[in-house]
Amino acid sequence: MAIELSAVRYRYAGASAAALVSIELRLEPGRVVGVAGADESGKSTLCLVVAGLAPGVIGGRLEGSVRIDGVETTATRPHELAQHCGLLFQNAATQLSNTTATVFEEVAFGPCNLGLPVAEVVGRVWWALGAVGIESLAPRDPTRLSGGQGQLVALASVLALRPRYLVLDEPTSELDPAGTRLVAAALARIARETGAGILLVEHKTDVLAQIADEVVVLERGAVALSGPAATVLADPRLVELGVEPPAEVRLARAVRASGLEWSAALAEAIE
Amino acid sequence: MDTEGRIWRRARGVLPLAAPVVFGALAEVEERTMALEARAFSAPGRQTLLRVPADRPVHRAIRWAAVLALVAIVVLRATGRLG
Repeated sequence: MAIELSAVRYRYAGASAAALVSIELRLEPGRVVGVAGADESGKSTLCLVVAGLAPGVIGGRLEGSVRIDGVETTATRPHELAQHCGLLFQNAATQLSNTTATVFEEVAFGPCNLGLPVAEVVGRVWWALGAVGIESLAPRDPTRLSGGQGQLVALASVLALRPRYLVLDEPTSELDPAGTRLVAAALARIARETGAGILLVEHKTDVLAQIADEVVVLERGAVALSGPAATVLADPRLVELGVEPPAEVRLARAVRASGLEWSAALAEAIE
Repeated sequence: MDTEGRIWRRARGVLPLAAPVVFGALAEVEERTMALEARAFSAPGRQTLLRVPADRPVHRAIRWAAVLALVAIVVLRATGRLG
């Protein structure tokens, strides 16, 4: 059971160069794999490929193999893939269906599309709202929420399909620090309590340091660094790859540069 | 943007805005399409209705009456009896 990418190369329709080259990646249920990289390094494309929307919905040319629990994504239809691998984008506003009056109905949109019995839909909606911690938003108008709340509704909407894997494309990029904390806490809870495998593309490496087990850094569509989160996020090559290290790593370097000794106890005290 | 004056003058003010507005809308549609696909929008079969509106005999009678009234108005109008 895993999402497995093997020798993946993807080129958008009409593009002369490949957006992804030689990608090898494995995501198991219950694990959080973070993805970082500079702009145009292929992070969003990786999300579309893993979730099967590229080439399934947007076209393009895919070489290599993308398997979700052993099944090739290219052999599976989008609505079937949605039940195995949920995808969340950056902008909460463009993820709303714009056809619902309440958050409850918005979260029910996916399960209703599957034609599930009403009792099953209602059960899934309350479960998803609970998993994200937003039960109190159920009667609210989804178009009148803050950015952080909107992104949590979008996350619950994806969760309601009960996917075994979640692919999140910079879910906090348009959020302020309060919204970022809301979403990061929800993701940590989902990873811990639902056992979903999460592929998290994120510029904010503090979020990755908080919840990722492993981190992959992309450069020009290829994997430049990969390994345990603590090791990769402390790698001195991170800055050259256009990724800002987490605050704790930067602080540790500053402390060492000033001739002092950095210790785990000091890090804990500062936190 | 010039919103006053002759129509060609206003059109000249609107034209530079057309491209970013259209391209922005298309980009938003693309992302919304993918987001909806990721929520099983294209699933075949009948969708679940959370709220089934009540449909009593009187509601059905009013619907049929509206259809008949529409047909009658079209016929009366076409035959010149409605003025």
